[in-house]
Parts: sequence; C-alpha cells; structure tokens
Amino acid sequence: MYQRGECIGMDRRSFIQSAFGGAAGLLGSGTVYGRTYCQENEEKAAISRTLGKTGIRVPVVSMGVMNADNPNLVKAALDAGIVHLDTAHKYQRGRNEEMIGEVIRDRPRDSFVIATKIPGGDFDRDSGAYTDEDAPEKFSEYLDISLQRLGLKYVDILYLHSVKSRVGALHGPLIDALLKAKKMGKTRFIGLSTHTREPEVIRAAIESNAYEVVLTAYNFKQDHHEEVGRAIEEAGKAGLGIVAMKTIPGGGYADKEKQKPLNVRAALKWVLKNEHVHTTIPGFTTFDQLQADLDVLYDISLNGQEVKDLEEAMTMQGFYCQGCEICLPQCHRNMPVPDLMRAYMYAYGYKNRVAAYDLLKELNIPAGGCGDCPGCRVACAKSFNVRDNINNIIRLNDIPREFVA
Amino acid sequence: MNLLREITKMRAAILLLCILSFGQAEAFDFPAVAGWQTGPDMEKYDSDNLFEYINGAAESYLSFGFEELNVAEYRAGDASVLVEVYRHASREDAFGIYAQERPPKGPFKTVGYQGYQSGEIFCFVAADYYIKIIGNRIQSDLAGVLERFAVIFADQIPESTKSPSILRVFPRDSLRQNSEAYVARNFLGYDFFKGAFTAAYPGFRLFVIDAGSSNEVRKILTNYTRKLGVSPPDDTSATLKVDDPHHGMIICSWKGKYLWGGFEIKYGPVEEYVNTLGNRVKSYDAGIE
Repeated sequence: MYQRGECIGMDRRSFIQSAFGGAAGLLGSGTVYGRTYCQENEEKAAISRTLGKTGIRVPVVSMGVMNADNPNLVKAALDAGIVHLDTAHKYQRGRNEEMIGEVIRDRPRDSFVIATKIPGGDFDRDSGAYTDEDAPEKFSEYLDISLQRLGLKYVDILYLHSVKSRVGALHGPLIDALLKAKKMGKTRFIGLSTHTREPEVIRAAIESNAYEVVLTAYNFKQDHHEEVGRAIEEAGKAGLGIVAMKTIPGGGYADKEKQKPLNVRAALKWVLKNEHVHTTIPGFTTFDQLQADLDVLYDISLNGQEVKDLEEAMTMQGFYCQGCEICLPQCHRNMPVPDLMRAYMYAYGYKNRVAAYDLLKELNIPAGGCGDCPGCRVACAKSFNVRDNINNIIRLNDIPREFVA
Repeated sequence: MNLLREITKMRAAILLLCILSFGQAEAFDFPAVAGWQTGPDMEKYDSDNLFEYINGAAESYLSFGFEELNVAEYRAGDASVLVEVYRHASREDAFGIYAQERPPKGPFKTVGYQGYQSGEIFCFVAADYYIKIIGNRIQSDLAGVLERFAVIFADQIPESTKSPSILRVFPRDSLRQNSEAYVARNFLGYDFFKGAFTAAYPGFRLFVIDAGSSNEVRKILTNYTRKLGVSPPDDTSATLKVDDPHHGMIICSWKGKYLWGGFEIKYGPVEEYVNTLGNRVKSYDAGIE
C-alpha cells in the first residue's frame, strides 16, 4: 500500500527515470504505478513548510487541480510527493471534485491534504460586499455537495472563494458559516482566497481572527507584488498559513502574445523566496509540467540563468503597452501610439525587428515621426517615454527590409 | 504629404469599418423574453479578464478557445434570470467545455445540441456557444422558466442542433450515453496530443484525433514513442501498442490525417472496437457514412 510520505524523499530524476526509463514496452507488461518512484533514490528530501498555525506540513509545491481532467496526472503528482490538492466547488461544475474523489478513494486519508473553495454568493461589484442573505445557508449546502463529490467526511481547508475586499472578508454571516462547518467537523481549517485587492483582503483575514489560511495570487509580474509580499509577511507572522496561486503568470508566457515562454521553475522559485509562502498550487496539465514543478520541490534556490530569465521577463513586461489608448487624444499628430509601442516591443522586447518593420510599414507613418512636434503632451499610463520610443522605432522605416531580416 | 495623410486616414477609416462590421456580426444579440425585462447592465468579458468573472475556472475555458462572454440579467418582479453566453472559437471547443462540465447522467434535453438543468441553472451547447441560464428567486416552475429561456436563446443561433460531426465515428454499440468529450490540449497529459475526441465503453475508452495531415500524425507518433523510449513505428505500420507508464496500455492506429485508438483499458474487446472505429473513421474521411 501507498504510505504517507513514502515518496517525499524521491528526487526529480527518480520520478522522470522511473516513469519513462524502460517502463514502456509491448502490450501486456502492465504498469505498476507510483511506488516505483520512491524506491530508487532518496538523496534529496522534498522541501516542506508548515502551513502556519494549522500545523500541517506541506511540500512547497502542491497542485492546483482546476485545469486537470486527467486522473492519472493527479495520481502521478501524489505518487511523486505532492500532498496538497486544491480544487473548488465550481471547477468544471463539480466534475473536478469528483475526479479528485476517484483518485484519492483508495489512499489513506492522512496521505493527502484537500482544499476546496465555496463562493459567498452575490456581491457588490464596487465594494466587494456580499449581498445575498441566503448565501450562508447555500454555503453549507454547497459544502455538503462538495464533500459528497470528493467522497470525504471532511476537507482539510475550506476557503471562502474569491473574496474581493476587506468588507467581504469580514462578512459575519459567512465567517459564521465557515466556523460552523469547522465545528461540525466538515473541515479542519478555514480560510479565504483572493486575487483582487489582495493586500487589503489578506490584512482583513488577519484582522478577523477567524481565518487560518489565505490563498492568494502572487507572482513576480504583478504590478503590486511588493505590497502583496508585505501583506503575506504580516499574515505569516500572525500565524496564518499562506498558499500562493497564479504563481506562473500569463499562462506560462512572458508576453501577452505568447511568443516568449516563461521559465516556470524560476517563477515558482521567485514566489517561494518569500519564506512566509508555505506552498504553491501551480496548475499543471502535462507530465512534463509536473516534472518541471517537481524540480522546484527539491531546490528552491534561483540560479544565475533563472535570475536572468526573470529579469528578462520583467523587462518584457516593461515593453508591453496595455492598449488603454489614453494617449490617442493627447497626441498632437494623431499618431497610432499603441501600435507604435507594439512595434517598439517587437524590436526591443522580442528582438524581432522584422515584425517591427512590417508593422511600421503597415501603419504607414509619415516620415519624420514626432519630428519637431513641440512639447509632447502624451502622458502614458505605463510611463513610457512615447516620443523617444517613436522617434527611435521609426528609424527602421529608413532601412531596406533585407537589412532588417 | 497631405495626400499621404488622406490616404492614411482613408485606410484607417476602412480598417475601422471592417473592425466594427466584424464586431457587429460577432456580438451576441440578447433576445426579448415575454414577461421579462433586461436590466441596464450587460457585461462583456474577453480572454484578458474572464478570470474576474469566473475566477480559477477561467483557465479551462481559455484552453477551449474561449473568445467572449456576454452576460445579461432579465428581471420580472423579484425574480431574475442571469444569462451567460460564452462564445468559443469553434463548435468543437464549445462542445469541449460543455462536455467537461456536464454531469454524467443528465437528464438531458434537446436544446441546441444538448442541455441539462441542475438546480437553478440550465446549461446547453449550441454551435460555438455555451450558454448558462441561472434562475434566482423564481417562485414557481423554475424548470419551465429556465427551459423557456434556453429554447429562445437556442432558436436564434444558426445550426444550433449540430454536433461536431466527427463524433459520429464512435461505434454506437455499447457506447456509454453522453460520455463523448473533447480534449483540446494535452490529451493524456502530453502536449503533442491535441484535439482528441473521446468516448467511453465498458472497460475502456476510445479516442480519435484529426491532426490535419499525415505528417502531423507522424510527428505525434514520433514524439510519443520518443517520450516512452520505444522505437517509432516504421512506414508500413498502422498500429502501435505501448505500455505507457502513466496510463497502462495504449493502442494507436492511424491513416492519413487521423489518429485513433484505445486508452484507460481495463477489460473488454478494445482491439475489436479500435478496428471498428478505424473503419468508421475511414468511411467518414471518404464521405461515406
């Protein structure tokens, strides 16, 4: 039988080798899944942290199951040393919880840590305040449905899903519903999740003296990541368990146009540099992605190349025009500023001068660009020096295409 | 210089016109529903901000070619009906996300291609739309109200009842009802397997992939066998049986741009069914059905 922690000492090479090295063969050889990972090499232990005052010890890499519809991937994650699975009542309209239920059905209850999330009902879009009076009752009903889907008598962490503001986090009836669930033994610990106004919500969780775990968006590309990091530190010092989500931003790409893949290991390690983040829940959907995340399970130190990759990804973000278009009415010369900033990003962000050149030709910018335009009035929301960037990039117009390629 | 500027302006105007025309053609026109009034706020989300509306569930939608969500609320006294209209890149994508979320046993209704009611929500798929109708404070005949909305919405979507045609290749004998699914990406947890339709039978599942060309099929097989550390099939082969360390036995067969086979094999005459599936794929490809 699978034993709790049996695989924790397995290193990443063991996982890869045992999964693929010689395991494939002709029909009929059968597959013994899982325990083989643990038998080869225990040279490194998985890095674990204690989830605040819950006392739960979890490896620093967990699994956000929301995207996975492949039970064998979840099994592989558990067999490889991942312990904590994160899902939600709403994911795949319940099929996600059912799939997890199938996977964990034959495993000892103390070999995994399950978290699910239940929404607090209608809320005011501006204030984030909950407005649905029936929500606490529905909350309890939804929890019972989730437990049934998971095949569990209790979950380990029950989150109030996607809290938008301080007032939402401190909504008494929903806190009462969470506490009631805990008192009834339907969850061991309670928490909230947030990916909007995270610092405010995290601080409200501390203030509440009720929540024990916070699940928060946190990654190196957040504009306010320093503030989120500070709030996480405060929560950690207050004894809350901290789980980080959305740790790999942009769907695994450094840029919005999905041209530059992110170094996902580096992104995950960046999050774990904050010692108050106890675990992370990357949402892998392939075995290769799982392996990449397992690398981090055994080594969270950023190497030189990873630091460089993160710096480059941050720089890429610095090139990215959000297309808010507040510049358009400001420009004396009616220049297509967002498009020109995109051309600038192609040239200097992607190092793709051909794309920049072709875009410029398409835009048909008058020769001279900003030229002698007196006093540029454009105040870019991203603080780009629009005039300098335009004058810089339109120089490509003067070069024959064959010299650009 | 003036001429150049005029030309530029004309080009921009034409481009803008094209964009606007395109946008109008794609926008969802919320229909009138007798006895109900639409509220003033209609919300619209795209791939950049879907997360704000459905949180972490957004990533699944994005993997199925999500393009746009329009949300409108209808009111009648205290009661309200929220309608979420998700538009995806293709009929296959819309079916994929619908099938991922549908309960295994229904009961199902013929609204659009298919729909079902679950509590206060009615979901259905029609062409490249996945639509959810959510009732709130409806005092009587909740099911009737939701279905009436669903029918009205389905009626205004062209070819709303058509399923992805390739679903027809799955053998009907012993097919588990409503088990058909579509995995847009990372089928079996491998990024080289894309666009797989699947269906369940007692003891095993079948899959079929339209890879677009025989070269693409060859690439998939090369990647897969390389991953497993076995020899790639030679040019004369048409079937591969492997023991995948994550999935157990996998059977792959192929012809032209199609790749099909069996997985999650526990028992049953899977090879017989893979052969039958292959024959049906070939007929489908030849337009003989």
